[in-house]
Amino acid sequence: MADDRLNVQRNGISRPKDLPVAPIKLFDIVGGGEKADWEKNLIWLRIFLLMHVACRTIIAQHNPALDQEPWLAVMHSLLIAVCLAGLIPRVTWLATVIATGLLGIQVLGTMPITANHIFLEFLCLALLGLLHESRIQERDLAVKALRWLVVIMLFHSGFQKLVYGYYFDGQFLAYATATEDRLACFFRFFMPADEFARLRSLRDAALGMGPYRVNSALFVAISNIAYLFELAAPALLAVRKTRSFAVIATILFVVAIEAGARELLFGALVINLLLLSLPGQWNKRLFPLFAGCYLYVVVANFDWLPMFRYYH
Amino acid sequence: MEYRTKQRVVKVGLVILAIWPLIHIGVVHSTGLSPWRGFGWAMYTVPVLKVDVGVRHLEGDVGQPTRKGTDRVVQSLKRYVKRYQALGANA
Repeated sequence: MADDRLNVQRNGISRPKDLPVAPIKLFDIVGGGEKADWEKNLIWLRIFLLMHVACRTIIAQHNPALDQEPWLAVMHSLLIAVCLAGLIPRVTWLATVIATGLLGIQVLGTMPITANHIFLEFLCLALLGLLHESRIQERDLAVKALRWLVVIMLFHSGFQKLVYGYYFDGQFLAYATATEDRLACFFRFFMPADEFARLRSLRDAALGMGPYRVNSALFVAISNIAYLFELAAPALLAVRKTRSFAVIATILFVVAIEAGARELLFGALVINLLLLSLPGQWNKRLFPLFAGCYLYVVVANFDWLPMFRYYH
Repeated sequence: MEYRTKQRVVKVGLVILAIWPLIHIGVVHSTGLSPWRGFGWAMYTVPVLKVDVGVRHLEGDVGQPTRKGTDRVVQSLKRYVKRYQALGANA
């Protein structure tokens, strides 16, 4: 048995029995996969991120309900210009670095009310600004760091839901169904019609109103599956053997969430980060699809094309 | 920057990212900060209470405020509400 333990296969090569097996470092657990794909995936992820930040900022700038301070409006304009310039191949990395700086100023300037998705964009751009995919060591470090970023974010999303305790009896989702039209459209199919009507009658959510609980086992089950999945999926994403299955399951999970929450751009960002964990050049393959969707969303934002109501 | 330095920066950053949400729970509890803010990945954990802002003119000897003045007051109040929803009593 000890001999078998030493005879470990790494990267398809059998190690001789007399050589010791190096311990796997925690950071490297998320490694693995065809490294030949990593460079291409990082290049296209970088381009996707710049496109994402540009589009999100264009939409935010155009929002008439947004009450922006003047310095933020200037920052947004610069950010849009830099990110769009970054779509030119020769200056992509430079644009990443400058965009990181601008987004960093925005994050610091709007703290502590900065949205988490903007912080996520900043972290991804910062990693890709610091590390260049043309250098092998930095490429490997970037891929592993971005995979860890997804694992950490997903785990803590589930853990925080567990800590605050509004998901055990479906209270949070019931309140959200009552008060938000986008979630009501989605969750109406998971509870009896009279329960849905009762919840929607609590739409104004004044103090003392309630209860925000639902007499539907399916609804409560969905509420608990939400955080349980977020707690379990990171482990499956980290381990190589279960990673591909976990990526597909998590992408479907994100799609299901966004069917209700309608945070289209955030969902697209998370999916692109997840694609980095799949074998193959999926970030490159699916980029035209995302580019088409983003272009549509931006054009629709100016009422030139029809679009349902969505959130960033 | 040397590769080793970059590696250290990235790994330390990830460790901070992993630990901060645990500290965030304590910060939220002690300061009233909204769990949706502060980079603790606690979005969609607690309900966001809706606040509506309006201005009502009182009748009397005081002259009627201008539309521009009213709008400015409402915008200022909405900004305060946004900060209150994020920061609680610290707004």
